[in-house]
Amino acid sequence: MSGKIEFALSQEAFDRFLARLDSDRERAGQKYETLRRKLIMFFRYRDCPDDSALVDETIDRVARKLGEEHIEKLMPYILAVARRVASEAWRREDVPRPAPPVPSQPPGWEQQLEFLSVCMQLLPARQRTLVLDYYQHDKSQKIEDKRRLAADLGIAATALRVRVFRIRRQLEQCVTNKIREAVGTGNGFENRSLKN
Amino acid sequence: MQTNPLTDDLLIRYLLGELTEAERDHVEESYFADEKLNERLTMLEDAMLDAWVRGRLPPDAQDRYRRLAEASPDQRRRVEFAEALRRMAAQQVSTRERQTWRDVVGNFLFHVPARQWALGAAAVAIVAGSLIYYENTRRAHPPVQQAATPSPQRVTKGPAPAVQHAIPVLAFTLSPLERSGGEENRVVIPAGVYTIRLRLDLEDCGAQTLKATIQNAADATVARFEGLQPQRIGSGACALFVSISSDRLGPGQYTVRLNHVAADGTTELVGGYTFRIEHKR
Repeated sequence: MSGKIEFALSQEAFDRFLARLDSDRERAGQKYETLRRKLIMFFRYRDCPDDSALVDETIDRVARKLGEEHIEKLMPYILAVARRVASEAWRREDVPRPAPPVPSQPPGWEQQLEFLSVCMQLLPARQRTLVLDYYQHDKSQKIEDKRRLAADLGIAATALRVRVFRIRRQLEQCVTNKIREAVGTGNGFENRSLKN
Repeated sequence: MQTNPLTDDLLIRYLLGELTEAERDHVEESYFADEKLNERLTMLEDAMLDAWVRGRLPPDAQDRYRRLAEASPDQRRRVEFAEALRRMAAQQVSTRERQTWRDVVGNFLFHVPARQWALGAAAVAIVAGSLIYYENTRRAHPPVQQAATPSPQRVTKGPAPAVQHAIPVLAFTLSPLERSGGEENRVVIPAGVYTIRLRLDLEDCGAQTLKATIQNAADATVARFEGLQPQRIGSGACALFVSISSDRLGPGQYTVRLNHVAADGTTELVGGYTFRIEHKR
């Protein structure tokens, strides 16, 4: 039977969890976002349905456990909990869901394109040019173009790939924030469902 | 237990769901513990998404990524981002094609060492001659625009906009006059030259060809776009997209008139939009 688990985390438990990630609140927030991304990847590539709900469920279980006992190695523990949550989710999902219709093109890119235009303007001109140059050609031209770009910048192709990746992450985060603003929701860090 | 080294090939097989359980557990443990590996894996995932939106993955992988996007709102958002980035980058291609010969000459002039000037000067003469021929030929046969939006450079009257390298795009949405509720559409342009991309919201898509004319407050035509086809955007809504260089839009009030073009060439006004351009200095 398909079903969702209801969960809510107390502010105290969530603060304890953040403090365990890092004593500095800002760095803890960054580590929390990184951890969420790792967990989303984990559930996605285990083909679990509703990955973001399973991420919340995992974090809630770990945060509660932190109030009950000392956990020596946090990351391996979180991974172990995530595996348990994934296996339970699969047991709950024993009725196959009908596949949704296949869109002819990914929906919603129009809105993202608008936000991306705005976010692009927030980048320094050099970064903007770099990221657009990097992505503007198709596969056939890409290798040569990327060699040229890397040579222009005086860096190795691998370093170029990392540099562009980090700019892309910034843009993606900026676009995501704008989508959240547009639909009136915050991100997981600021607006998690908290029970006082 | 002996484990495979974490090569790109192994990580790609992880993303494609082709690993054994032991291999998959090893990859998971590794990226949870190692930030660098996590970054590498995410870069590969980005590359897979980029390949998917371009339809460049093998059929099995294409199908897997489609299913992943359908199963997860977060993944769908990332796919949409990859698509938006692809389209924005594609919009730069035609700009870059116009820029290329200038780059060639510029690079040549600035990078030739002094002792090679004599040879360089002769080569510049040859290159410049070839480029004049190339530029004339290119004007006669403009390259196919890869962007999704119509190209104002090809369909509008008047002087071509200034050539810029990687002209940034500013996008705005305009509501029809009857739906705007008297509220003025303001288009605020920061200092610099931009491609202004206007989305004109429509009541319905209909199989029709439309013509859009942008006029200033003195009713002078600033740009004309012909052969426009409405596009579906999201949940059944429809819109037209037109692009124009910001240096053709001085401060002031503008009107976009939208006309339906019948098979016999007659036109009928089907909608209007107004907006005010403000330049931020």
